[in-house]
Amino acid sequence: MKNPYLTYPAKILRIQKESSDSNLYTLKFEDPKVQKAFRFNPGQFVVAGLVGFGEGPFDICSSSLETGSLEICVRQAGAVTKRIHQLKIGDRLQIRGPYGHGFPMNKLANRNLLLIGGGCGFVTMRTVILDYLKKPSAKQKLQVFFGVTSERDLLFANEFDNWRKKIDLYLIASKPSAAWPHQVGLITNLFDKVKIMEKVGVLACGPPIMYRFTLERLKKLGIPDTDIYLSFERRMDCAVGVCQHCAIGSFYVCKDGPVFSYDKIKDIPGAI
Amino acid sequence: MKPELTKLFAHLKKDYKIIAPVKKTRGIFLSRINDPKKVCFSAELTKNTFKEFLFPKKQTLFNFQGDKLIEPANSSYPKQAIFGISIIDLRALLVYEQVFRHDPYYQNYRNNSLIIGYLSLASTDQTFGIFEERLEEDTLEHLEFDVFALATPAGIHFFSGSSKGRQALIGAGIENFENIEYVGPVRESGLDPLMMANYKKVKNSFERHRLVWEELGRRCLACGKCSLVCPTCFCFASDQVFGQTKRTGRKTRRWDTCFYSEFSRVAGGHKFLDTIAKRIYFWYEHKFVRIPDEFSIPGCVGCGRCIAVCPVAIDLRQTLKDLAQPPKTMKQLVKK
Ligand SMILES: Cc1cc2nc3c(=O)[nH]c(=O)nc-3n(C[C@H](O)[C@H](O)[C@H](O)COP(=O)(O)OP(=O)(O)OC[C@H]3O[C@@H](n4cnc5c(N)ncnc54)[C@H](O)[C@@H]3O)c2cc1C
Ligand code: SF4
Ligand code: SF4
Ligand code: FES
Repeated sequence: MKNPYLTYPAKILRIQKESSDSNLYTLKFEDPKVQKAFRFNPGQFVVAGLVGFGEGPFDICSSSLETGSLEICVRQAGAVTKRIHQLKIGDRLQIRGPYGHGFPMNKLANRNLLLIGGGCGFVTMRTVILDYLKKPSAKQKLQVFFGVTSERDLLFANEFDNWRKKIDLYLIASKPSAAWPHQVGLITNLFDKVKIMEKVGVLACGPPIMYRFTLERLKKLGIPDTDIYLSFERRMDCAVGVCQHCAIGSFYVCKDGPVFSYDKIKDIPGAI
Repeated sequence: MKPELTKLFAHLKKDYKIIAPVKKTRGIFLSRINDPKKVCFSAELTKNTFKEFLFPKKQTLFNFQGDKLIEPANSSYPKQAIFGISIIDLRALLVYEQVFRHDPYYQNYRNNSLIIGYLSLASTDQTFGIFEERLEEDTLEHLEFDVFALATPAGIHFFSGSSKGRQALIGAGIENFENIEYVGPVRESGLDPLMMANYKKVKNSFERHRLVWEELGRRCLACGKCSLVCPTCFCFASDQVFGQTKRTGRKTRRWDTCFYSEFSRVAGGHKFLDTIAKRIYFWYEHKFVRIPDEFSIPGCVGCGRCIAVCPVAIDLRQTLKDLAQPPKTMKQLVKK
């Protein structure tokens, strides 16, 4: 019987400081067989950690078409992430996964996409963007909203110029410095400034408060609940749908999520 | 003691540690025994359950040396025969069998254990009116066990539920037994109607019956005792600890309970279940909604243990009754 809790060592190939508290880690499994077998869909996550210290869930944020390595972006938020931030190139992380169900990219293949990422939640959008850049489609356009508190929280900023060649990227900050050249306000203010495309599928990841306000705007635009996909965060432990920590109604964020279409969870008290 | 069981225990003792109901000052407990004369055959519900023997309060998932993870050796799982499990608790065991079917640790414990169910026809009904304990013609084929012993006025009637069980019976020189083939947890007649009725009462009731949940939230101390004794509660949390020598240690898991506020805490301090009302609802939701949705079997088997231990007399029979009433409005409450 395969042990679902077994982790595999992965070497850190590259560390890129992304924001005041987040680093991007490029990882490669030490065992080539493990690396070769590792396939994921945009929106899925891994459990990463350090032997003896602990582990936690992290969205995979590299392109799903890239098979030689994977990337996660880790925000320093507590005990384990602090320890991860002390690691250097060549050190190892322990990884298991990928877990859950990501965004239904096949179903959305011929649809325009509106990506909405709030703060650290933006991480998972990078996979969708990188996949699109690698394999752009004539049948699909991407509009991307990225909301942060200040410019210090922006992630992947050095990639934006490249992204902008093929996608529409809109940045907004609620408390930026005077030098901030983009929009100021909450991510929902972008709906007043940007004309949303027709026939759009929405992928969103951010805190519950962002969902509440964003959903209001999406409803006003007449976007059906079944076309809205939200990625959820909950406390996790097992990541395989057993320990109960991440349950929402009859679903597990780890196993059935982290991405849910809005119609599936909207009646569950406390989901959002 | 019943002579047939004496034979069985004498045989099992050769290979297994025996765990059986024993009368203690505070009630009957499933305990490790050396002397089969200590076994209590009253078939009353034991205070504790099989769960601590198949899913210990704390267990090692991996030992590590440096980055190397080593699973515990098979020899570290005890060979144990657990005697005296009631039909009610066998129904709870079904939940474990479903939940942990891909869990190698549970499977190791289970594979090394012989589960011996027991019912005495002379014993009184022990259920709390939530489910029935009656033995019907098709009861056993929907339960997972190795041996089942039914005490009748004419003596013990044995059933085997697995090849391991058959071997044990034959090895003990008991040749007169019935083979039961497990056909899955759900009856041919369909989903348990009582389960479905309770499902409807609890599902998405947090807003609808807000006052019921808020009242429970006010009374409940969040002590977690109910989940500790409940034979279907199994949630857990894992920890990693360093050992005495450099770069060694263990990854362990331990029982957790959704009544503790830490249960839903994420980095930064936010707790998704931030009130006791939300946590007690989460507990009911798991038993009466989530488990039925996942496995089509009841997540509460009606053993009543949670009622017996609750320091503030929270009684799930009453809660289910309250949820069956139309929700009270503020107006009605103020009038009262
Ligand atoms: C599906 C999902 C995807 C995530 N993706 C990312 C990401 O891409 N980048 C990122 O920086 N963070 C992400 N997080 C949050 C990240 O998992 C936590 O910040 C991290 O586990 C905190 O660990 P810690 O030990 O530093 O914090 P502590 O507060 O010390 O936490 C102790 C332990 O609690 C658990 N825990 C704490 N917070 C969370 C949490 N939010 N979710 C689940 N378990 C938690 C972990 O097991 C952790 O080891 C994600 C969370 C989820 C649920
Ligand atoms: S009656 Fe209480 S202790 Fe027994 S199974 Fe139901 S919830 Fe658990
Ligand atoms: S035993 Fe009673 S008081 Fe304690 S957590 Fe359970 S319901 Fe609450
Ligand atoms: S993390 Fe254990 S059930 Fe989801």
